[in-house]
Amino acid sequence: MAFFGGEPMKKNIKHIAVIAAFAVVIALFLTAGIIAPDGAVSKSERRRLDQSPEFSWKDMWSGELFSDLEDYFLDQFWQRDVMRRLKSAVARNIFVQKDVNGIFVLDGEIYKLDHPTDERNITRFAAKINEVCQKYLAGCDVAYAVIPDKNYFVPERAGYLRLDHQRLVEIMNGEVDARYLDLFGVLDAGDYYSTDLHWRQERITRTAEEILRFFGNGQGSAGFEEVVLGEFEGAYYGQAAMKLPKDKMVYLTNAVLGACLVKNGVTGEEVEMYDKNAFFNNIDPYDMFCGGPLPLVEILNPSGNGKEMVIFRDSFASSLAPLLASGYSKITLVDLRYIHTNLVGEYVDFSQNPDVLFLYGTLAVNSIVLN
Amino acid sequence: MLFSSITFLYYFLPAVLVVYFAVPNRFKNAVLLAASVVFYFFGEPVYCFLMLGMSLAGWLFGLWIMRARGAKTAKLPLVLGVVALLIPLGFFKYSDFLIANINGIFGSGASFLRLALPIGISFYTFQILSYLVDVYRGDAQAQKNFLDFAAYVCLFPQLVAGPIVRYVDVAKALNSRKFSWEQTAAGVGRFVAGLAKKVLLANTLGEIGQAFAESGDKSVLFYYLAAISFMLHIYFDFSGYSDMAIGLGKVFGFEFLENFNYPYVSKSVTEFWRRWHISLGSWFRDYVYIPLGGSRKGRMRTFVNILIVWALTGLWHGAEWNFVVWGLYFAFFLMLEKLFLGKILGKSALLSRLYTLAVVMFGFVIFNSADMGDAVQNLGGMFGAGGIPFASAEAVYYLRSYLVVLVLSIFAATPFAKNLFYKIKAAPRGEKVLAVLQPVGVVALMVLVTAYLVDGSFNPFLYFRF
Repeated sequence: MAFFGGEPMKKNIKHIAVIAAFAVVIALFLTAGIIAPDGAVSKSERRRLDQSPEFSWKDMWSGELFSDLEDYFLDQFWQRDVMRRLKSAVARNIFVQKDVNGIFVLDGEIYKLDHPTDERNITRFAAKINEVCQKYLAGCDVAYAVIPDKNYFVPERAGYLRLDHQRLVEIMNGEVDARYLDLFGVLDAGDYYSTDLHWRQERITRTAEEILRFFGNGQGSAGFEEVVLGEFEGAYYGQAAMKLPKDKMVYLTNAVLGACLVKNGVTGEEVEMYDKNAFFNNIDPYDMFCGGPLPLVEILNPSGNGKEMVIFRDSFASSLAPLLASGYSKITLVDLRYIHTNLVGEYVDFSQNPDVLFLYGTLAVNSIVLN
Repeated sequence: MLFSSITFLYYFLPAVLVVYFAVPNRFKNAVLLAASVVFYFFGEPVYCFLMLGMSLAGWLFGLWIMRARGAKTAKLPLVLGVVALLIPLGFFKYSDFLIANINGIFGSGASFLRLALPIGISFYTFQILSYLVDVYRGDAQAQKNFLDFAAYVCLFPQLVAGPIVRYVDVAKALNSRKFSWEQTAAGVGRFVAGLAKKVLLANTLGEIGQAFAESGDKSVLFYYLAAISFMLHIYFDFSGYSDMAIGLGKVFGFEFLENFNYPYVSKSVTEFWRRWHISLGSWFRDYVYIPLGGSRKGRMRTFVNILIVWALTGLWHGAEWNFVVWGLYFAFFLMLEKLFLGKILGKSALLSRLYTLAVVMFGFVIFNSADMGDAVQNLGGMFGAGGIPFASAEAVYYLRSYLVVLVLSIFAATPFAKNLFYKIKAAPRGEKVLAVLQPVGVVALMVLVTAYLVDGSFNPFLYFRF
């Protein structure tokens, strides 16, 4: 049978095979792209996926429509997670790259490269703490603590780039007008999730005790009961795009915590201390702790000792704060990433001279600008 | 639109291929033109009209030149056509360069126009210019059909980043193309190989450059790592694109000339420029160097011609003085080789290759710098200027992290893989082995490239700014 320039197909079987192979791949991904329904969210990447762009003449003439279309096709690509795992596997195993998209795996633990050290941002961060102190905290017992990123515990011989934690603490100690609470010696590598940047709540009771002791709240934390919620794929799990053992989400409870009331400090709405619904359904299961990323949270302990604490914080404090509840009648969590410093005074009463703790991870101190 | 994008690979290309092979031959140029306009419109909606306008101008001037052949005023339409086509190129690409220099010389404070550079304008302008000159010289007949001419100028496989295709090389194919399984398969294979070079190697090597640019921890080692990785990055980026263009050309029935021939095995700078961006080098040779007299008017004039050509070559690459310096830098070595160095290089293949690689590497450091100040800093850094350390934690990290990629890339930049292919082909049962390996390789590379694209994001070609 003659075809295509009059040549018999049988003679050209090897050429047809190459063309067919190409055509099959194109046809497969094209068909899948058309048929597969669009996803709204990528759980593995913790973000919303781009949707089909809406047409507008302005966007068409500016070219934005077309770049949005490409972003949409990329985000909605069929088996996107599988593709990402394939890329990760090739980059790690064939190209033997030490990290892929800044993520590396060592002994089953997933890390994110935390480099370089931004001394300017650290200085700016320290200045913000001083600003808050001057504005609101006269008469309060104020301290700050820096939570080392889990990279801190990666042995130097592994050869990964890392934040200069020592330099960070040096700058903070030199700039911040408050007492320094050293948590570096209290924590160790096993205190963090394998697949997430955060610490495990069930491993930081010692940290909580250290904080309470530092503020002269020698009451210490009461014993806790561990409750296992289920498998937990941390923030780094999806980013690593590898098949790795997942973490277990465990939270701690006792009679004191059971009686506590947790409120959204802005709306007054009650929130769960441990929101199981958020664990199973939110993009980030870690949001289950104390309402997740809220600007203001209040933990009220009806059996408290009348003392109050305010924690200016990032997400680490969400899982720590319940462990401090037994030492206070009220703990207020303030997240200056979501509320401006100038507005804090409208929601938080500092007139009772609460204990104040600035508690941030090194990632935040090194790279985030507070409001 | 980029070749290395999901939109192109899985939506645009299949649609074009289906329509192209479905329509009768007499409509194929129209399909190509329509597809090319859509392709360009996707990236540059407004400048699409500029491209079509310049195609129209080129076509009209071509007809005029042919009509005027033999007459006393035969040169007039050529001169007018060249000027008319260089005006948009000059305006979009060089106005701010001109303004900056006028401001610098006269202390004036003229504002910059900040015009966006139409993608591929340097490529398609040079294509049309070559057409006009070839028609004037009688090497080609003017194309009477605007649609066919525009299909040639706007042909999307080579529109935005070359190779610079001369009309004489495709005139016959424009009118009638033959298709064969072998040519189509060769085109597919070439396209996929180019895509893999671009996405798997070039983009990965580009990460080193990005890390270097963002680093506050420079060291001599890091400067060399950045320089070597850039040499490889630009090679795989550009040659990968050329492979894709040539491969798609074959699929559509065209035979484009080769644009790269393993330039990093060259034993002299002269040889390097016969292997690197061949279509540009030959364009300047045929349309500038030879008309200026080439090497036929004595040594002094030859060197002047070399300097002119290479200054223009540098300027073609970018509207900054570091590009002109880059061009003149190569002119210097070309002249040196003509004078005496060429004979010395012939004595040792190893030393001549090392010399060529070193010259090219330092040349690309100048090329890749933002301006001359940046170039001086980068070159100085390679020799420890500013008291920077020999190695830093970052440099060691990135060297370790990308070592395999670098080694693979160095191999891939040599004819090693090509020679291996032909060895297998010539071996007993070699054809049968390749008959299995090739389609498997196509599938594997397409899937892998797709995985990399999905994981990454926007990845423009380096030569886009030309």
